[in-house]
Formats: sequence, C-alpha cells, structure tokens
Amino acid sequence: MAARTPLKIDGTNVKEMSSTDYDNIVARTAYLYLTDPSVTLSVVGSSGSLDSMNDTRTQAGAATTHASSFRSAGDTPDVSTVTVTYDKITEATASLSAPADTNNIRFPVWNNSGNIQAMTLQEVYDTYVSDAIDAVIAAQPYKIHTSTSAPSGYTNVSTTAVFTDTRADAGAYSAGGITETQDQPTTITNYYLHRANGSSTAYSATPMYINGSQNLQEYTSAEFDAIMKEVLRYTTVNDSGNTMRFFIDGSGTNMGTGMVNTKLNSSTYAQREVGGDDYRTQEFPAGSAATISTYYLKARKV
Amino acid sequence: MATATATKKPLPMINKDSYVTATFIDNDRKNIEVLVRHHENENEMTPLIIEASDEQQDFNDLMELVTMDQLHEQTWENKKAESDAFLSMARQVIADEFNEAEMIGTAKAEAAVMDEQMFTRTKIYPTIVDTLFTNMENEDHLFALKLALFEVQEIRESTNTKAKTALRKGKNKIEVLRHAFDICGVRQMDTDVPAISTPEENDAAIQTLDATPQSTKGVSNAVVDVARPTTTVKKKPGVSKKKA
Repeated sequence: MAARTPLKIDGTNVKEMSSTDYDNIVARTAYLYLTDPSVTLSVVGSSGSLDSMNDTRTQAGAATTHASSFRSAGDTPDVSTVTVTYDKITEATASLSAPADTNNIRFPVWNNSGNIQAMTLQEVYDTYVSDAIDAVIAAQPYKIHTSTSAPSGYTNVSTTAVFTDTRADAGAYSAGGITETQDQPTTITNYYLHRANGSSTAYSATPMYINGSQNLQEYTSAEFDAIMKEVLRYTTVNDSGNTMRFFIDGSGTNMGTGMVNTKLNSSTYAQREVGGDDYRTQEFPAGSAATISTYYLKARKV
Repeated sequence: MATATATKKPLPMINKDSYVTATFIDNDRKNIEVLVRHHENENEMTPLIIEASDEQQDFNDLMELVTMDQLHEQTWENKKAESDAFLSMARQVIADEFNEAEMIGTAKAEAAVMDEQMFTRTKIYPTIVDTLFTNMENEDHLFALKLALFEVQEIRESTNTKAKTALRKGKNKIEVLRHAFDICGVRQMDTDVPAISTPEENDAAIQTLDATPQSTKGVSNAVVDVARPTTTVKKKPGVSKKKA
C-alpha cells in the first residue's frame, strides 16, 4: 500500500495537495463514476443474478361439503401458505482494460524526498480508489423505492417491480361465498429499482503531471476527470478488495428501503348451508399483518 | 486550474423536515418503518424500511430525530391501534352475523354469566398461573400481557419511564410483570372485595402441598390437585347470586 500526496500549483508555488483537495477529488470521482457506472443492475423477468426473495401470503383452505351437518373446524382443511419467488435483479460488469500509463508519466506527480516523479497506476489505486468506492457506496448508486416515480436524484430503472408484498384479502372472503376461491391476494406494496444520477462536485484543485516535453503541467478538470473515471470504472470491476458488488442481504450499505414480506397471522372458520342438504365449511385467512422477513439491496466492497 | 466550488451535501432522506413517524415492524426490533414526507408534495408520504443498525446511515439520521425510547413508545401505540382496529372489525363481523333478537338474547345470557362469575372469580387463578408459567417468551402472549398491563391506569400514566420502557422491552412474562410491580407496588387494601375464606384455612391447605418437596427440574406444566378448604359462601351485600 503506497498512497502518495500529489503536487499542485498554488499561485506560483508547487505544493502538496491538502486534505480538502483530496476529499474533493474523491467526491468528484464518485460523481463521475455514478454518471457512467461499470457495475450495473437491471430488472429482468426471472433468474436474476442476485439472490431471490420470497413473498408469502395465506390462502383459504379447501372447502368441505356434507349432506347433513357442518364439518368441524378440526375437520376443515387449514389455511396454507402461498409463496411467490422474486428473482428479478441482475448485476452486470463492464469488460474493461486497466488504464494505460502512457510513457509512465500519465498520472499525477508527487515529491519523493526531493525527487518529483509520476505515480504508478498502483499508486493511483492506493491513493484514491478505496475512499472513492466508499463514497460511491455511501451515495447509494441504486435505490429500492416504493414508487415508479424516482426519488430526487435518481432515475427509474424499470417499472417492473423487483418485489411485491401481497397478503390475503381478508375482506374478499365471506361465509356466503363458500366455496370461496382459495387464493385471493391483494397487493400491499410494490418495490422498484432506481439508479443514482450523481450529485456534481467540483475539484478545489487538480494535480500536476509531466507532459510530453518533460515539464510539469496542471491537469485540466476534463483531463483529470477522464483519468479518475477510467480508474474507478476499472477497479470497481477488477481490483480484488476494491471491487464493488450488490447483494440481497448480508453485510454492506443498504440501498434505499427494505422490502418487507408480510402475512396475515390468523384464520377463521366459516359455515354455509345451501338448500338444506349441503353443509359447507371453509377456513379463511384473517388477523393482522405480521412481518415475516425484510430484504435489503446492499452494496459492499469485495 | 479548476475552480473551487462549494458543494452542498445532499440532504439525507430522513431529516427534520421529511420525518413524520417511525415504528419497529418486527418482533426482533431489527427493522424500522419510517414515514417520510415527500419534499415535492407535502401530503404524500413514503414508507422507508431501514435496518436498526448504527452501521446504516439512515438509522443514524433517524437517531438524530428520535430516541430509542420514543421509537419503542411509537411502536407500542401503533400496535395497540392495530389491535383495537382488529377487535373493532371482529365485533362488527359478529354483529353482522346475528340479528337483533339474538343479540338481545346473548346480552341477557352474558349478564347472567357475569353475575355468576362475580362469585367464582377466584377459580380463574389456576388459569392465570398456567398462563403465566407457560409460553413465557411467546410474542403473542407477551404482547397481550403488555397490552393488558398498559390498560392499568397507574402503569399507563406512570412517570417511571425507566420501568415503563423496561416493561415494553420485557422478553418474558416474569420480567414484564416484575417491571409492572415496580410501577404499581401493592395497591390500597380498602378496595378489596371481602374474602370468603380465612388465612388459617388457606394456610393449612397450602401446607399439604409442602409435605413432599419435588424437584421441578425438567417438569413443565405440572398439574397438582389441591383440596380446597371447606368454605361457606357468604352472601355479599348488593350482589345476588343467579344460576346462569
């Protein structure tokens, strides 16, 4: 690990960059990455690469019928659980080559005990990458949100929900309706994926580099933008320990809201007599909503 | 040279302007639902589910606005409101199922049963004891017990917030009751209903239980038949005993 302190021009003097300069470079790099990420998420119909999530709900038991009497609650089939699996988020990584260190002088210069020399690519990684990826993750490159309307600073990835919490529609079941359709769900919440636009940040100073004439020259913002974006796009995909990946649950920073799977926690037994010789019973979902599980989209360095 | 530009840190999603309320959504108290108001439309609110972990920035933002105690309090009130709403709905369903005549008949029968129960309330103690010493950590039982305790005015209106918080967070029935007793203490005796047995008779009967000490290790839900002391039911003023 060899982080370096790059040099900058301060008026007419050459100076080492300050911690503020460093923080602004990190923030700007994170912003550049968010405008053109190399690890991306998309919404697919099925078989997404991230872990799947289960939505569970109760459904009515099968109805019973008898010619002379009602079957007891014990003899009437219980409510059961319906499970719907959501496997709709997939991750893709760009295929990239390592940034080229043209003539070994492409990257910022630093003061090596009186000798001014250009950083190697590894030194650029060691200086900026870890903090820049932390900044990207903290900025939440993706967000799960309960609406297709994107939160401020985000763009909707797909209007297909990545997870839907459903529950039995208790109000849809009635004794008078026996035999009721067993599975009568209602949607409680849809969850959608949104991508961060990035929040623009400017450099307070840009470093210097050695130009083709062997002179020290200050990068323009655009020149340094190109280098830093290229570096971060490559490392998030390829630099082991500094790559960024998305997960469902586990450790890492949460991306937006958690996705809650709820279910009604009880059941009720109902009877219906039809025409004097048809005694029907059925168990319906009832009770209040209970949280069964909560899923989070997470990002972390790997 | 690039110019310095002041960069404004984006406002966190949970801030004093957007925050409406927050409650735990699970028994383990690991996840929180935070209602946040849209900055574009003040009437629109969005539920945001966050992890109760100080490793998550959203949670730290929330903790700037509410204390953990307030969070438990709000959760409590929310659960109670849900429970009341469910009971109200259940009552409505029952009312819809019976016609008025049946309801009147039921009310009369219930009144008769209540009169009978006035005399036999002490019979409820085996059930109470059994209820307390089984399902000690069952969340449904714990919730019902806590709800019932918070119906007690002294507890609900107590200023002993430490004990109230401990009661709310209690993980088993004994712990919950211990904190309830910390708040209430022993109530004034002058409101007690007159007893129909004497301490001597009761003591003698209880001593028969002491005769053979038994290990309770590994024994659960043990049932012991105890001969009740012979007592004479004294008619209490203002209460008439009816057969149901």
